[in-house]
Amino acid sequence: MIHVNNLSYSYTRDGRFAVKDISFDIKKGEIFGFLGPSGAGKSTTQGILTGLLQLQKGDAVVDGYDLHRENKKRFNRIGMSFEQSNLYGKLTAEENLRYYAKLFDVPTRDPRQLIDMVGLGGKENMKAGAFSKGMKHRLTFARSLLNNPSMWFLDEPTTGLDPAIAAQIKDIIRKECDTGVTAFLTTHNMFIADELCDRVAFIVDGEIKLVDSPKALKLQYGHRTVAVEFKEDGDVKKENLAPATGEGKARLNQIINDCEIVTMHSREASLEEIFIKVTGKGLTADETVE
Amino acid sequence: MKLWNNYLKELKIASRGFYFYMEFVMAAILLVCILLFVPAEIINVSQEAIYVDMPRETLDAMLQQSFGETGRYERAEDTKVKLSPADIVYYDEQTGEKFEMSFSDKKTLELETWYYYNAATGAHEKTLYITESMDDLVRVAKAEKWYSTVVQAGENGQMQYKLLLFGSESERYQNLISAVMDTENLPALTQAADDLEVVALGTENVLNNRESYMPLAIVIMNGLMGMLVVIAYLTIDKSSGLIRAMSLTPMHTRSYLLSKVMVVLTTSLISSLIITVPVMGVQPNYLLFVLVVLLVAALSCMLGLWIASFFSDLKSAFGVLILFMVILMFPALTYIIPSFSPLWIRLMPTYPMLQAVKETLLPSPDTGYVLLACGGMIVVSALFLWWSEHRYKKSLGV
Repeated sequence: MIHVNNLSYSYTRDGRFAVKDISFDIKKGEIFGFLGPSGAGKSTTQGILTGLLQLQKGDAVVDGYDLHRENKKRFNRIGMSFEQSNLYGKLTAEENLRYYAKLFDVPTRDPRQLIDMVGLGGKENMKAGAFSKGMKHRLTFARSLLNNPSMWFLDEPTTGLDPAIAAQIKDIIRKECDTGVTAFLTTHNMFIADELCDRVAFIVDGEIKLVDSPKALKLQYGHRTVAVEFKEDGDVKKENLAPATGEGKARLNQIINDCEIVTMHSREASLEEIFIKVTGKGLTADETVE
Repeated sequence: MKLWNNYLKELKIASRGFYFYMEFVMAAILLVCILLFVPAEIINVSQEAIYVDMPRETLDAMLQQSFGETGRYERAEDTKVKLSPADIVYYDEQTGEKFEMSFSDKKTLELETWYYYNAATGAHEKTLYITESMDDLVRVAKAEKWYSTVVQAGENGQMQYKLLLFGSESERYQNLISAVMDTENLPALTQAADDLEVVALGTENVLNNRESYMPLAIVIMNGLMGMLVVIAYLTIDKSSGLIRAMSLTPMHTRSYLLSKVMVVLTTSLISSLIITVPVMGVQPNYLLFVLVVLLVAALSCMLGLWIASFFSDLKSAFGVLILFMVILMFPALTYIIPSFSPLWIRLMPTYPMLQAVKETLLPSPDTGYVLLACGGMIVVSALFLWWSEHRYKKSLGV
């Protein structure tokens, strides 16, 4: 569905690249996570693949369309959910979707059904300008599905949403991708990537450090640990132990045999921990568009 | 179809905003100003002072007989003129005699005043003030800078006229006055004037004073303003991220830009009609007028789009746009002062815009010129649209 080969991009065209010689492929129906901290090159890559930024160096084919050749028709097959909501504040929620639907050359979905789907049912006739940040975000997300896209770009799709709504959005993403939609998801939220993505790419300083499935990454780089809380000499103590190692296993046995256990939980390595381990860099909470 | 849908959407959004109606309110205010403060006809009321050094009956006879066929004098309220102390020197051009006068008093004169009305138009064309002495005439002439004349009996009983000049008149003007005032030349001049055949040149096909301001109001107020308005629309869309969303649809950049321009054309047309219909009535050729107004606004918008395309930040383009607007207003000078029409002004797009709008308002417009100007505006607009589209393709959605 997406083929990227030796892609580079410079905003200043002075040899300083925001994206440096990256290559990857995304299969049809896959949810591909593009993970990295602020300024890593996520949004630049997404901008090139959507067509917001011009292809400078390298090759990219999206849904069969070579990005070297301009073709407006390809946007009939693309959906884009922006991180920053961009709606007509003076139009109602339904008017926003109805107007946008008219810009496509393909059959579009019923705006009311999409509004219901993102939990905004009953707010169709409310002006988007009066919506809360979360409501605007959901309407922008709903708009990205209007044209039944086969290639769906999602930029931080759950940012600013409360957990219940975020779960609803993740559920929609899963269901849509089950029907064959390919999703390219950029985020610095490793939890959503872990939950949704079939494969993830770690990008730092414009370079892709690795591409694999979250499960494979955990097997390769993560260690299952046990967090144990116990009483020893009258004090409550906490330790994280790796039972896969001989030393960890011995210490765990010792605690079980000699001490009173208060709590004990097994724990997998998180994607964030693996990211730090692989890239040597952490993820920041703030995300800015390059 | 996409263009039409986008236009309707843009119109809907604009109509929900304050600015949309402000344009019409501004047009209405401009209309009121034109109707109230710009007279349809400009009448220059000349002011003259006269001292008749002859019996009162002579003056009365002059007022009754002078210009009897072309107009009439009517007595008006006396006019008060305050005189200050003054030292005045004047020369008699005929005798070369020098007169030095010194007035140390302050006084207020109440001058007998007469209005002269044109028989044909009924317009008040002249106000005549009559002084009772030569001294008063000289002091009034100096104080008020009025044309001043002394009428006295000559040696042969004929009336003699002496004009008081201020010394600042050109030599040519002084010679002309001397020739006219010289009684020996009078028969020849009168004969020459009688032999002249006076032909009125196209007086039917002109705009009156008030109407002549309409092209300026339409081109500058409604046309050039479009330049700024269309960029303001783009700036709002860009800052709110809407252009990014538009960029990811099959809609062409050209359609997007045109839909914005079409909204400006709509408001420009309505504003122009608000101003024009009450002033011009049914005189203009409205078919041509609407065509020209739309093309004037379109060309202005395209120029605005093109200029702004050279700036990465649309907001920073406003300063340059305003500078361009000021430069494009130069042809207004040529419109107001036709004798000032250098080639560089006539080459500016606002020159044919003004002339074309003016033609559409005339009773008998030069349709050929208007259509030629329209053709030119279409070609130039299309060129700038193509150029702007090419430039915006790279930058609009970023």
